Amino acid sequence: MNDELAQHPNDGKRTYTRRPDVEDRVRQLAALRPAEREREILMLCQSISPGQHYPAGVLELLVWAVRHGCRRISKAHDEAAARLYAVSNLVLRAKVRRFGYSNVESERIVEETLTAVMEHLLVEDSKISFWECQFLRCLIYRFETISTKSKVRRSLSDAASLDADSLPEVSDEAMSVEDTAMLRTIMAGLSEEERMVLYLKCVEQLPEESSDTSVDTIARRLGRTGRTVRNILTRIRERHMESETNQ
Amino acid sequence: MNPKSDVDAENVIGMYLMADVHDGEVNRLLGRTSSSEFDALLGKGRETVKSMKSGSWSIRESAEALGMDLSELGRQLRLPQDVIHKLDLRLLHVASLPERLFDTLSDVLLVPIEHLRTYVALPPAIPAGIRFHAENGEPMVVLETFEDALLDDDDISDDDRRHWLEHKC
Repeated sequence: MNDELAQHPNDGKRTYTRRPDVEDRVRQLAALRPAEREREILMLCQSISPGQHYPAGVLELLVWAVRHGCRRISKAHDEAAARLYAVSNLVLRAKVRRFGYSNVESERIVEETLTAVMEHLLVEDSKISFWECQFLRCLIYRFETISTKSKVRRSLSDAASLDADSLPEVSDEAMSVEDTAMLRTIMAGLSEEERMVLYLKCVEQLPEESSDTSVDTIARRLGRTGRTVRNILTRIRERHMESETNQ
Repeated sequence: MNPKSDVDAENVIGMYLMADVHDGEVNRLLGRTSSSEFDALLGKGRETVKSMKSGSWSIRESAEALGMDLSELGRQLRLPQDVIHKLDLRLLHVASLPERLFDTLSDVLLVPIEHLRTYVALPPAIPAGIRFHAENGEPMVVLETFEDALLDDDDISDDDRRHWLEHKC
């Protein structure tokens, strides 16, 4: 077993681990001869198409393929990178619609995020570890960073105070009727503690925990461990995913 | 909190929840996208990928990365090693290269056909020996046609020569 395949040092302190099924698939692919591997990767690309059931974990496999699994000049490399681009594009467009940006601004945020993602995937020396384990989460983090910058740019150009911008700009139109209804259902199902964790995380924007005792954190405010706070957030996310899937 | 802040907080929390994305959502998005829309996105993706790629490439390196040397590649293409070497150094007239050579090479090397076309259209890579004998400035390289290269080569069987020359397209 090659443990380097399973663990991905990120910042020298934490390591990330792939889902077991993705890990198995990566090992299978890595064991193939290069030509066979690239043919398999090309077939894998076909599983990301409209009308097909998207098999979970394929995006992470494709990131691995782009970074390590195929030659940089090959059909498999081009196709894997293009599929990642297309899916990212779809996801970002769906997300940006919910945030109530103007068309021009939405377009710019999506394009900027896509460029950043593709540079990250295709530039040789960039850190990639987490993208191979949680592609969608990384995509959304990148999107949030870029949309936040865009918001700051907008408020600077409006000569508005940055303090007024400390809350994300949302309007009633930012969410569709379905989204609002779904949100109400989720909120109604939260316990007092879960609501508080979400409030501190999203509105007060506190970190979950910190080793620096001078930093205010959710864990400290609630007298809980960082791990408990993360578990609560995961639970809320899972409930949200479930309600979206049932929709 | 006042009612306005309550609404803001709820919206912010809602945005946080909705910013989370998961595999099920990708499935739904793909379900809602038409093939033509997806193809357009893929096309844009391919263009972006192409524009971001750089670095050196050669037929030999590409074959070697697949575990083939030039003689093995020659066997698969039904071409002598020497002709492949000339092709790799771009010493053959591009216009003389048959279309099915690109097809076969693309299939064997698993490399996009457009990449091969761009590669063979680059200026010739002048072999070190020729460079050594150059007296003033850059040496002149006389390009050969694909047909001449095959006719001049003794290492190709009559069968393979016919294969490439009888149906040139």
